Amino acid sequence: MNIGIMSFAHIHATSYASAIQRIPDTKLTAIYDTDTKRGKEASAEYDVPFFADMDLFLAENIDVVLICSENVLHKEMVIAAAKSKKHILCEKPIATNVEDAKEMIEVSKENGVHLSIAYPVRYSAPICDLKVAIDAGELGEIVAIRSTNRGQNPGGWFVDEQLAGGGAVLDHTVHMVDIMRWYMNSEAKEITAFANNYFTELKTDDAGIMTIIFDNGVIASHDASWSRFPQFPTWGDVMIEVIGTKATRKVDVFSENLHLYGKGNKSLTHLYSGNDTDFDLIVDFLKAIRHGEKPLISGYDGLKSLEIALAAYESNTRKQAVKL
Amino acid sequence: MVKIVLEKDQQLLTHSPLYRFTTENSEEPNVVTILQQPSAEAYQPFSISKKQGNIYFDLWSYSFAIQLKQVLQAHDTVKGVLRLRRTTNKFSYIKEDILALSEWFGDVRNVTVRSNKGGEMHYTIVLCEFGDSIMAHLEYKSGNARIEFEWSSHLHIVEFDSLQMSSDKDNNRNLFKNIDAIVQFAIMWNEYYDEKLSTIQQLLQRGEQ
Repeated sequence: MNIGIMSFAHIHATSYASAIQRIPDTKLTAIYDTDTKRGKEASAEYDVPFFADMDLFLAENIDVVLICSENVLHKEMVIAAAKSKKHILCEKPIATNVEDAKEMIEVSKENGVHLSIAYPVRYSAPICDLKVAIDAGELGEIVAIRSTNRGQNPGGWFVDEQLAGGGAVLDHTVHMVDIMRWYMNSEAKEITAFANNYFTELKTDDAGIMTIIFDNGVIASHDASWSRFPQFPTWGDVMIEVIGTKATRKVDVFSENLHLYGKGNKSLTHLYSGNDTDFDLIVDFLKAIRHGEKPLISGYDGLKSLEIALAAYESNTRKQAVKL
Repeated sequence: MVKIVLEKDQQLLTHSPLYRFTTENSEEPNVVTILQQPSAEAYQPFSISKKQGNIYFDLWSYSFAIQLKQVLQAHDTVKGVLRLRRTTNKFSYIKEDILALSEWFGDVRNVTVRSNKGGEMHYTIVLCEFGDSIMAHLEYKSGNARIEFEWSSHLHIVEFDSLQMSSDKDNNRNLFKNIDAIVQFAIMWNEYYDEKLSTIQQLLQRGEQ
């Protein structure tokens, strides 16, 4: 299977490229980037041709593209790839507004290609185990969910609203609300949120908290931020706690680690020892494509989680609950 | 001499070398008299007091509050994210906690309250703001007493979990009352607090809509 990567703007592009190199019968065959310098560096690193022209790139013998561009470019790249009959794995968030996301889903459907969104948290082993426990009824009826996704300020284009479409709330909400939807098979119906600049001097929001009500009556709290500073022992957290009538279970993806104590700027470092979720995501996505099956995560999943993050911004602006 | 009213299900840390603790009424210096009935001259818990005299809040009556206050005094408490979760079977703590938090973080505003129930499990999420630039999630879950507290501000994060951060998990005394915290953080109730409490109750009612 031939894979092309469209843009190395997102840091995940490098882990996806490394994953492709480890998967049998899979080859990274071409790289396209809007940033020529960045694209040429990746081309040299992975020893594959670089294309500065998207049409020439898409004319190559490529089965699948991985889109890791700045968020605002997702739409253009997804639509072009879909029209060239390439299956697509697009970084999250699917788009920066709902209309674009819907159009991307529609064009992919019209062209008979799969559009999947990169939510690697779905591939975390403890996150998957909790899904199994919920489906087996071990927690009983779900009453509430509590989640956090708090990391370090990513810098670069992530903090440029013109390129990212939002700040920490957009960046760090979509993963966990995707997990909530996946766990419950229920959609959000109301969001109340605050978002602002609490930790940095950025022009965009660096933190937000929200209360979500789902169609099934479950209430959820979510804390999204870039509140972790470089001296913090770990990048941040990806935590979800599910409160059920029979049991409560809590998972923090990054709690599988070693503690390294040392002298210097950082006295304690958490060394992550859990499974490689980026690798597992790529393997599962390519497996689905190879077997003509639907990928685990759809464009629709990307749309629904985007709607929640954008509703959080709207609620913050209007200072009231937003119904979906 | 200190007199303190404790609710029946509460216990006091009695390891302090500064005090002698007794349930006998005593007027001797350095003696803490523990009472179980409201008494005007004693430090009384907010929950059962008649809202007069020295009132202490449950949230600020534990050892962790003393350290927390020092951290807050040393760093910025104007801007940040506050997260509190109580596991409790007394959801009446909600208004008391908001009053207690507003003492340290500023007046509460923009309150939203959402609840759900399944079987014996109740869960309530309060979303609100304190002061000018503090956003907060206060959550209440049915079950045995536990307090989880987080304060995040610029380059400082403080966390407390009464269940996890214990010297001896089989003898966890994190939620035993601390006499120094009670005395240090108690307030003298007056009309200002009557008004403040009334405002909080109204905000909570409106926040449920």
